[in-house]
Amino acid sequence: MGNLVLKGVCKNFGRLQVLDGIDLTIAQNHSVALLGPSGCGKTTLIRMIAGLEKPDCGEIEISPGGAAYAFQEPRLIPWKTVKENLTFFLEEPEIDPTFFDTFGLTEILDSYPHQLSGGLRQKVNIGRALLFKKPLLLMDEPFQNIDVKNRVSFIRSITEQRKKEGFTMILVTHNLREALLFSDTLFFFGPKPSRVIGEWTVAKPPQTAFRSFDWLFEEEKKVVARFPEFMI
Amino acid sequence: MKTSICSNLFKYALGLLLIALVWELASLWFHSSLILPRLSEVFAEFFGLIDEASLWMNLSSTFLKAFSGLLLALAIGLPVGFLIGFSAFFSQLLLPGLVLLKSMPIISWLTSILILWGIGWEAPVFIVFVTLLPIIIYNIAQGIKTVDKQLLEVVKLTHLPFRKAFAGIYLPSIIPFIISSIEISVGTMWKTVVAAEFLAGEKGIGVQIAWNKYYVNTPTVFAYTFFVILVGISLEILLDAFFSSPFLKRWRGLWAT
Repeated sequence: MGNLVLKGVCKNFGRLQVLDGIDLTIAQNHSVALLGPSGCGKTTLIRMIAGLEKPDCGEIEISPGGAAYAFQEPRLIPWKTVKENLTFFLEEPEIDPTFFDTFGLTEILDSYPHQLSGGLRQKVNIGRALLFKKPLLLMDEPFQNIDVKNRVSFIRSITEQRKKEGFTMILVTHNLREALLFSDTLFFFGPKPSRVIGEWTVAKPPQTAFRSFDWLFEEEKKVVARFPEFMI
Repeated sequence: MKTSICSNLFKYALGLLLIALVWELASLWFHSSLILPRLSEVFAEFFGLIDEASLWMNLSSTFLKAFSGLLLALAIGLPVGFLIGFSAFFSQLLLPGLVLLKSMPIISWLTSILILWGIGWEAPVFIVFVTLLPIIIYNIAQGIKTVDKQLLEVVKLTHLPFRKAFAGIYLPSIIPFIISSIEISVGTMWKTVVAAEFLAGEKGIGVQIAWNKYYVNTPTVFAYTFFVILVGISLEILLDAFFSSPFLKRWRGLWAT
């Protein structure tokens, strides 16, 4: 059963053809990453999945429940504190305080966005998307301003959250390691007009080996051997 | 810093002196206090005026009319501005009316107003109202259109109820526009109310100017004019001080970022 099925989806902006017949099936509770050169239409694709853009042809079938979206920009409300930003869009504004601890937000709850660094704002953005608790989470290069150490701990926390709550996740990224850490499957996009040019199933290590990262480097080598243009 | 303020003040004083010089030269040229009285005459009249209780009665009457017109324009202008900002349909429907209202000379209202209400407080209030209304509507509608599109996408994505989006996002976003429309309105309001009183008022500063014009009391006309200018400038300074007070500034700053 596919949670999300895309059939021949294409998109033009004026005379510029961005996406040319995208076929994708993403199973329920799976985590996938979309990789490809800048401007190849990855963001456009997840905007269409979120319903913010309409495809010019093809179909998008999405199971009911809607999508949460961590945008590339933090998109926080400037006159609200971090806590208000996290709760404002929710129907049920009560949040389990352990959530703030897990994502390192406790200390900044009363700060305003303009008082935070780019990385912290981005954390709030991701936190907000996670709190929507939708069956589908879309993330558009959400870790850009976050340092490596925080990035890894964030990825771990989100992965745990996903195991607990079971949601499908689509991550748009340039970073192959990030994609490998996060995802069950990687989809590679070519340059404009873009199509899916390759697919890779990530061989996840047993839980015990997860912390060592050896598997990550091994996996990275294999991916790069097959798709040399995606070496970073 | 201190020297630059001093040198600025010096330049302003020099500017005022220049105006006074041109005035005096012109006054000497016309050689008639009926056309352009000497500054000394105007000031003598002015200091005589501010000693009279009637001036302050007239001032309060003018103030009352001016601010009634402003409040009325805000009361109607805010909701209509919202409507135009939100809806393309209403924007197109009401645009011709707005353009008409904005370009219509105030004296064109006069015949109808005078027949309807006669001489009295109604005409100045109405004229201030119709003059400020399009300014406020335009500002608010413009404010709604500049609300952060990226935030509105989050609103759309989360199916946030309109009531909540209005109170939490739209309203705070347009507070600076409401403030600026009041700032623009107050200057216009003051000049308009005096003109309207001149044409159709029963009491007030404008009426005093009208009477003194009737009796060709040119120095008194200029003395009242000087008073109108002083009050107008003071109003703008007071308003500016109010809107840049620490409390409001904090909110303004937050809203602006």
